[in-house]
Order: sequence, then C-alpha cells, then structure tokens
Amino acid sequence: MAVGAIPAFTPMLPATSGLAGAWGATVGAGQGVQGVQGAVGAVGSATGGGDFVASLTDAASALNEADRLGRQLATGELTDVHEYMAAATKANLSVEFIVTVRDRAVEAFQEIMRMQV
Amino acid sequence: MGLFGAIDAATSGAHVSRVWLDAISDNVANVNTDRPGDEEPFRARMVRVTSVDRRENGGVGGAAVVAIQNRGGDPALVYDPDNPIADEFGRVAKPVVDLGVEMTNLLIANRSYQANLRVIEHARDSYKSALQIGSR
Repeated sequence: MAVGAIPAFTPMLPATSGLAGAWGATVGAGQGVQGVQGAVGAVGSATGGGDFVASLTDAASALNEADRLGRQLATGELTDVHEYMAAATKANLSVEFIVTVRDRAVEAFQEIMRMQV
Repeated sequence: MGLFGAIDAATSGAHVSRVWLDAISDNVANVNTDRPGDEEPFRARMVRVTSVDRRENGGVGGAAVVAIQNRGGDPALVYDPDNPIADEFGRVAKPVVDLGVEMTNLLIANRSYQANLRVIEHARDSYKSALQIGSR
C-alpha cells in the first residue's frame, strides 16, 4: 500500500488511500484490516490529519467487527443473527460517514486549487 | 462505540427478546413433559432482565439478561397408576407451564424483537439523513 508516496496533499490524500486499503483488505481477507489500521495511524501522526484518521480507524474497526461476526455466521458459531446485521449496519454507516467527509474535504481542496492567484 | 448508541441499545434489547423467545420455546416444548409424582416437575423458564446503567457503560444504555430462573408453585399431581412413570402412590406430576401464558408471552417477545429491529432501522435512517447536511 503506497501511503507514503503522496505526502503533498497533507491531511486528505493519505487518508483516502488508507480508505481504499481498508476496503481492499476487507473484501479480500479479514486479517488485513489490522494492518491497515496500523498504517493509517502512522500516516495520521506523521502528517497531522489525526482527527480524520481516528474516525477512519473507528470505521476500520467497525468493518473488522462485522467481518468477525460474518465469519462466525458462515461457520455456524453465531447465535444472534441481529448482532451481525447491526454490526454490518454500523460498518456501512461508518464507511459512508468517512466517504462523505472525504468528499467534502476534496471538494474544499479543489475549490482552493481553482482560486486565481 | 458512542457514535451508534441507539443501535447498540436496540441490539441489547433484541438480544433479550431472543433469549426470551428461546425460553418460551423450551417451555412450550415441555408442556406435556410429565415426571413421577415424587420428583421435581418441569418448571417454566423465566428470563430475568435488568437495565444497563448508561453511566457505567460509556453512555450506552440497553437491557441485559441477569439469569434464567424456574417458575415456583406446586405442580398438578394426577392419579394415573397405570402410567409407567407413576410413583409408588400412582401419581404423575404435570409440568408447571401455563400454555396460555406462554403463547401470550410469545406474541409479546416477538413484537419486542421486531420493535428493537425497527429502532435500528430508524436510527440508521436518521444517521443517513445527517450525512445529507450541506450536500448539494
């Protein structure tokens, strides 16, 4: 994951590439999310996008929880079906929240870039 | 997680309703389970529930199952000397389960489960509406 390759756009772009990483890891294999959390945390402290990264880490842990329960559901260990549905809803909402914040941030950034100097 | 308090509380309520449904299903399944008159009869399972203290649980309330206890009271002793499980006096103990009560509780538990899931649904809709603030 090339998080270190784009240090120019300070708080926004590392976070977005981290988000894509979270998606890829969750879709691919569940174990990857932990690594993504670590990478995102490192980038956040290095570039000062800490608050956004904290939210992103929350979203990644919500995804992780949904992933864990999904695996339990598949293996027949899960006793409460609604628990998985609630976790999936929370993961969905977290990611939607993060994507919305990212979109607004990118929008503001582009607005500034269009400014005549 | 504090962000989704409503969903967490509703999930705990759904869990309580699910445990209650399990207990009711056990009671209904054993509504014809006789025992010898000198033995302990089958007793209806009752779910004991408490509320979760919001201050001690990071601002998230909800309900929790404390214990599953047996209903008290004396069983109906039926004189049936030909029954192979009858005791030395020819008595058979009927289970301490009231099918009418169990069926009523079944409706309540079912509706309670649905109500909690409806809360989750509406909480999700509310949170989604919040994401629309300021969008074009």
